[in-house]
Amino acid sequence: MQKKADYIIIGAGVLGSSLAYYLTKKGRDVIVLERGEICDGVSSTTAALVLPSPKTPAVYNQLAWKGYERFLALEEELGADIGLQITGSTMLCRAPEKMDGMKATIEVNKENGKTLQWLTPEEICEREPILNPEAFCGGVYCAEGGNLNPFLLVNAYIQAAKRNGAQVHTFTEVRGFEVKNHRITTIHTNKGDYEAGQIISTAGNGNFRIGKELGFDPHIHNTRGLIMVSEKLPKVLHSTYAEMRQSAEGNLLMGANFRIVESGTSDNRVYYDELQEVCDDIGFLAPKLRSVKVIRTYSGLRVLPEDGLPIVGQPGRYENLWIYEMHSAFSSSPELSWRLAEILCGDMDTEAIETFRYERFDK
Amino acid sequence: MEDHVIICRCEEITYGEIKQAIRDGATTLDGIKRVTRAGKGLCQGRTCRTLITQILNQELGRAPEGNECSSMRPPVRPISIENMMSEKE
Repeated sequence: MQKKADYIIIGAGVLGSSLAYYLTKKGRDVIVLERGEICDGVSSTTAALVLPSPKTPAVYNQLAWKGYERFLALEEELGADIGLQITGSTMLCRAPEKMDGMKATIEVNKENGKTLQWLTPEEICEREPILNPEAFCGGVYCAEGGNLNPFLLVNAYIQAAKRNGAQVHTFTEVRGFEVKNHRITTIHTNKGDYEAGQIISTAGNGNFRIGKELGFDPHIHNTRGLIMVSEKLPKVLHSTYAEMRQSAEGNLLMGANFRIVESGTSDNRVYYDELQEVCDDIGFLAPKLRSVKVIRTYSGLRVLPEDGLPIVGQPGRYENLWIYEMHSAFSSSPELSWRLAEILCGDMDTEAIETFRYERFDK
Repeated sequence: MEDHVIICRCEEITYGEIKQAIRDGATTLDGIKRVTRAGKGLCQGRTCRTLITQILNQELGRAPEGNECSSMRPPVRPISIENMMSEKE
């Protein structure tokens, strides 16, 4: 089994798998190390909303729209279904004090050539009859955006990367590192030692442990959120909301709340009070859905960069280590992964990721 | 058993699709579930779980002992949103 590569990626979620794909597309030699199955970590925990429009400031908004464009072409490029549904998006304003901030996003999107609309509760309910107009004070509507199936997406990237020669080693957990002269010479895993030219960690919350081991701060919060899955229903929801969306098969995926939890925790249990919170919110937002049966809940740990923006760069003093992490990856990730692959291969300047560099935290 | 035989009745996933998922790298019930939907339906794998475990063992040449369970999550059976809300009318 190959244990040495020019590039070793830690984590086979949406960031790791897309990076593996773009690197192998450029003919590079890649091994992906994943401690579980592919898409087992952060990428498995959300409703996979594709929402470029709420991203601010302008440079992040632009990255998200570029990522979105890549998503639109991805099924053809990877030769596989990724469950992409372009439903448009409706960001509901759930508190009057949030209205100004939300209306400001309309201007940010305009700068990037995208037209959004502020809608009143009545206008929103006209398009979405099951919503309760008393649950929000308006919202920002965008005809683009939607949702996808994160498992199909990651699988599509992984299979394409494998066809290009990538090795994907699942159930291979990083246990430690050997360092010499500011280079990581060896990665210790439960399946033996690996050597790499460059190492890119896309380990999500795993970056807390890796950071502790190598002496750097990943600059992310650990967050836990829960999603409820309903029985299959005929099409009752047309747009995509932060609070809920409907899958192509008919299941509703509901739950927008998340809370910051302790960095060292791996507690991803479903807590009854969190579940009740989601039920109360959905029951208020869409009373007609109260009789809908929930068949499954899942809770997961996600990451939230301290300043909200994606993080990509070189932490600590290591010349061959990169870290790559973000919140809400299902808009920006294809573009940022593509740029990172170009940078790693020496074909693009780090200027292309300037706003998102890890080094901004060192200042 | 022929490839078109349905293993997961709720989502109508076939033996062939499950074998393909294993060929693509899945080695657990959860791994198969995520890419094929087998086990995501109304019965949440009650019907197909044992069959899929047998297929895994057969394809990967493993012994039946020591197979992991798929992740268990609430609810034990389908329950309406209103029965989980804090206010009941």
